[in-house]
Amino acid sequence: MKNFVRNAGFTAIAAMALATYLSVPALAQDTDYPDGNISITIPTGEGGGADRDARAITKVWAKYLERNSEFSYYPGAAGQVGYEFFMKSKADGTHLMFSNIGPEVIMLELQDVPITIGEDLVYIQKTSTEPMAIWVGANSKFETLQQLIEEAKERPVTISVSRLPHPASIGMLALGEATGAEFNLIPYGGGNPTAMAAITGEVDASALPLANPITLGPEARVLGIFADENPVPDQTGNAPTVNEAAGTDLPALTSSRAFAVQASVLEEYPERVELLKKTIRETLVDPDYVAAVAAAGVPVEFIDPGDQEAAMAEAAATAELATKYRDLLTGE
Amino acid sequence: MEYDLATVSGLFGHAFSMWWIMIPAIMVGLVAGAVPGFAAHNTIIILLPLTLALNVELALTFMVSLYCASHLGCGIPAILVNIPGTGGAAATTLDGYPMTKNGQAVKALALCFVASVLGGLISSIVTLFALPMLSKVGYYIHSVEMVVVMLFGLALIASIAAQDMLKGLIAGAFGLMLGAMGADHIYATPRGTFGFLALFDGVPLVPALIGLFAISEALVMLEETTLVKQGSQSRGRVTWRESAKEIFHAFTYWWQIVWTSILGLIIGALPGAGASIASFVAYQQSLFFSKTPEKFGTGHPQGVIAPESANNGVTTGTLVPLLAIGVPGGSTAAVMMIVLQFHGVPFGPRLFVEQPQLAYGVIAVMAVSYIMMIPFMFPMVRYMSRITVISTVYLAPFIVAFTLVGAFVPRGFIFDMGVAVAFGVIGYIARKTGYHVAAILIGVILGPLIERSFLLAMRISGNDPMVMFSSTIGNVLWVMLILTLALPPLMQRRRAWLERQTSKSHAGPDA
Amino acid sequence: MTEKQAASKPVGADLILPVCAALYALYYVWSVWDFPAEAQFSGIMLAGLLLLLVTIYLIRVLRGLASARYSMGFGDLFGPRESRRSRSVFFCLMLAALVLVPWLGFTLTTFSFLASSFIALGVRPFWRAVQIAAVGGLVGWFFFIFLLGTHFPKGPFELLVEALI
Repeated sequence: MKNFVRNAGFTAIAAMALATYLSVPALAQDTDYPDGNISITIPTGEGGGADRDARAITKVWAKYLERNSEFSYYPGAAGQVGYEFFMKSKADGTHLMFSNIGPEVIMLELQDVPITIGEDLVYIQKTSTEPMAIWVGANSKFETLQQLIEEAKERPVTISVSRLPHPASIGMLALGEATGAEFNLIPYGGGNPTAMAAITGEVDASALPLANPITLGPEARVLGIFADENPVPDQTGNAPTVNEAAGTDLPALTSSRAFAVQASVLEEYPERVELLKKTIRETLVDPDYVAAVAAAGVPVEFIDPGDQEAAMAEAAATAELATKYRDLLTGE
Repeated sequence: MEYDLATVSGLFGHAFSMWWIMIPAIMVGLVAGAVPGFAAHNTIIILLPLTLALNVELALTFMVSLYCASHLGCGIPAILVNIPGTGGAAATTLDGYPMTKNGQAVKALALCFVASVLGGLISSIVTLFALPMLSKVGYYIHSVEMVVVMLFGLALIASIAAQDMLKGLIAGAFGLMLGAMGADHIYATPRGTFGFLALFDGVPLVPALIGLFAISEALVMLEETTLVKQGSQSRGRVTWRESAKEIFHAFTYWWQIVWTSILGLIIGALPGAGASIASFVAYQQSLFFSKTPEKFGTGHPQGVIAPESANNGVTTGTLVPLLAIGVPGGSTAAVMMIVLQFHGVPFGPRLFVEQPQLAYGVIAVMAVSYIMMIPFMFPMVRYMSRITVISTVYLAPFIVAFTLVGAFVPRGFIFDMGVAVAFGVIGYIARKTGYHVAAILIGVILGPLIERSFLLAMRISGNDPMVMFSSTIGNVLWVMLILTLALPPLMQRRRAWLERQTSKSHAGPDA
Repeated sequence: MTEKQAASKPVGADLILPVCAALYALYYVWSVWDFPAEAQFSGIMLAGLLLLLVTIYLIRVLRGLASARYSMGFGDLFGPRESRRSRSVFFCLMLAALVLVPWLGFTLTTFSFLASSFIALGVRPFWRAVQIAAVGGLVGWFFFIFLLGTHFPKGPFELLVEALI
C-alpha cells in the first residue's frame, strides 16, 4: 500500500512537472470560431427574468452556434458591477453580455460608470421587447388604474419597483407628474422581491416589465400598460394602456433584452459578430425557441429580432429619458 | 388536495422509487455543504446543465435532495474544525467546536445529524399538511416585522459576548460596519468600498466567512499539534456501538428539535430570510429558554441542536413562497424556478391545480431524502470524528488550500481569495485578543439585511420612524425581543438573591 | 521586573481591532459625505455607535494603564515563540499562492502551496510532504476542476490535461 502511494505520488509529480515545461502558446492556436463555450455575463441575479430568458434562448442557440453557453451573474450596484466586469473580459467575441437595455442604460447614465454606449459597448441584437406595466396583487382593492390614481391624489400610494433607475420607475414618475398623483417608489432590487411585495400587500401596487405579472398568472391583475396599445390583451385581462386609462399622453416605455459585445470586437472581429447576429436571428424564429418562450410563461408576442441599429436607437432614447428624470431618480 | 392514507402513501412511495437519483444527490449535497463556498445554490447552478437535461420531476428531486443534504453537511466542518460550511452553520461552531476540543466530537456530530435529519423531516411533514397556512406567513410579515425578527438574531451578539460585553459589542458593531459596505439599496451608490468594484455588492459573504473562521482557525491551530485538548478522553477510533449509542442518545433532545425546526420552517417561509437568520434566532431563543444558559458556548448539546434543526427546518420553508405564491423567497428557490420555467412547468398556485402530484411530491421528496440520510449518519459519526486526530501540520495547509477555492467559487474572482485572507487576519487578531469572530460574522451577515428591510419600511412610511411600531405583529415581536434581552440578567439577579437568602437562612440557625 | 508589572495585563494587541474599526468607520463616513440621506443613514448611525463603543473602550484602557493594571505589550498575539517562524512562513506562502494562482492555475498552485507549507511546518522526510501535496493537488483538480468545472484560472497543468483529453 505504502509503495502504491509512493508511486502514485511520484507519477502525479512527474505529470505536473511535465505540464510546467510545456509551453502554453502551443496549445492556444486559433481554431474555428467559436472554439469553446460562449461566456455570457448577466448583470442581474440568478433566477431573475434575464436568467430565464437567457436560458431559453441559449438552449436553442446551441443548435446554430454548435456551442454551449456558460453564465456568470453580477447583480451588484444595479448592474454596474456586471457591466464593468464584462468590459474587462476577453474582447474576442467569446464573451457576450445579455442585457436589459432599459434599466441598464438608465443606470449607466445616472451612475458614475466609465462606460459609454456606442464607444465602449454595443448592443448587437435584440431578442425581446416588452412594455412596462402597473399591476396589483389579486387581493388588492384596486380594480382600475383610475382608482389607483384617485387614491394617489389623496395620499402617497406605494409602488414597488425593481430599482429607481428603471423605465417602470420613470413611467410612474411621469404618470404622477401628468395627473397630480403622488407615487412613492419603493425599490426592492430585483423582479422577484418586487412582485412579492405587491402580492403580499406590503405596497399598494407594482410597476415592472409586463412579463412579470403575466408569469404570475392569477396572482396579479394588470391595471395599465405603458404602450401605445396592449400587445397581449388575452393574457392581461384586456388591460388598457396607461394613456387610455389616465387620459395622459406619455411616451411608450419599453425595455428590450439584447446581446452586447465590447465595441472593439466589432472592429477587430466583424465576421464573428456577423455570425453571432445571424445565428441569434435564426434562433429567434426557430419554432423550438418560440415554444420555449411560451413554456416559460412569457408571451411570444414579446420576441423581437430588432437589429443593432434598432437596439442602439432604443438605448439612445432611453438615455434621453434618464437625463430628463435624473434628479428624481438619484435623490440629488 | 384531499389527504387520505392512499394519497400520502402514494406520494411517499413514488418519492422512494426515485432513490437512485436521490442517493447521489445526497452524497454531492453532503460534500458541497461541508466545503465552504459550495453551498446548495452554487452547486445547483454548477450542475444546472445536468438538471436541465433531466425530466422536470427528476431534476426537482435531484435539486431538493442535494439542497437538504447540503444543510446537513454544513454542520460537519463547523463542529470538527470550527469552519461553518455556510452562514447557516455559523451558530453551530459556538458549541460544536468546543465539544470537539473537549474530546466529544462523536457526540457533537451525532447531535448535529439527528437534529438535522429529524428537524428536516418534521418540518417537511408539517409543510405537507400546513402549506396553505404557511404560505400566508409572508402576507403578515413585512419589512417592519423582518427588522425585528433579524434583531433577534443580532441579540445573539450580546449573548455570546457575555464574557466581555464591551469587546463583544465592538466586534458586533465592527461586523455591522463592514456589512454596510457596498452600494446602497435605494440609489446604488457605492459606500466604503475603497474603490474596489468587487466590493460594490457589499462584503462577499462566503470569503468573509472563510476568512473569519477557516483561515484564522488554520493560523491559530498551528500553535498546537492536535485540535483536541491535551488530556481529554478522545481517541481516534470509535466503534459502531459507540456511534449508535450517541445517535440514539441525541433523540432525547426531541422536544428542542421539534420547536427549533418549526421556528426554522416559519423563518424559512419568509421571503428573503434564510438559514443564517433562522439558526441565529434559534440559538438565541434556545439560550433564552434553557435552564442552563451559562453552559452555552462551552460545548452544550442544546447549542448544537438549535442551529442545526433550525437550518434544516428552513429547507422546506424556502420552497413555500415558490410553491404557494409563485415567487422564490431565496436564491436556491430562484434557481429551482428556472428549471421549472425551462421545462414549461407552471409554478405557484397553478402548479397545485395543474400538477398537484409534482407540487406535493416535492415536499414528500424532501421528507424522504431526510429519511434516506439516516443510514448515512452511522458511518459519518464513526469515521468523520477521526479528522480531529490528524496533526495540525497537515490539517492547516489543507484547510487553507481548499477553503480558498471556496472563496473563489461563488463569484469567480481571485480578489475574493484576497478578501478571505484579509478577513483571516481580522479573525486571527480577534481570536487572539478576545473578540468573538462569530459576533463579527453575525454583523456582516445581518447588517445589510436589516438595513434593507429598515430602509424599505422607512420609505414605505414616508420616512416616519414610528412605522417600526405600527403593526400589531411587529409590536408583539418587539415586546418579545425586549423580554428576551431584559429577562436573563433580571433572572440571574433574582437567582443570586435567592441563593444569598438561602445561604443566609442556612447560616442563620448555625450562627 | 516588579511585581506590579508582572501582574499587569498586556492590552496593546487588544487595541488593534477597535482602532482599525474606528478608522474604517471614519473612512466610511467620509465616503458617503455627499450622498443622499437614505444612503448615509445607517452607515452614519453605525459609525457613531462604533466610535462611541471604541471611545468607552479606550477610556477603560487608559484608566487601566494609569493604574498599572494594563500594559502596552502585545501579549500572546503571535502565539508560542518556538513556532513563530514556521507559522509566519506559512502565512507568507498563503500570500504567495494568491499572487501565483493566475499564472500557475489551480492544480500547480495548490500543489506548491501544500508542499512548501508542509515542509515549512516541519513535515519530514521531504518526499512525504511532496507526495501528500501531489495527491492533494490532484484530488482537488479532480473534484473542483474536472467534476465541478469551476472557472479557476487555467495553468500549464490544466491546459495539458485539456489537450490530452
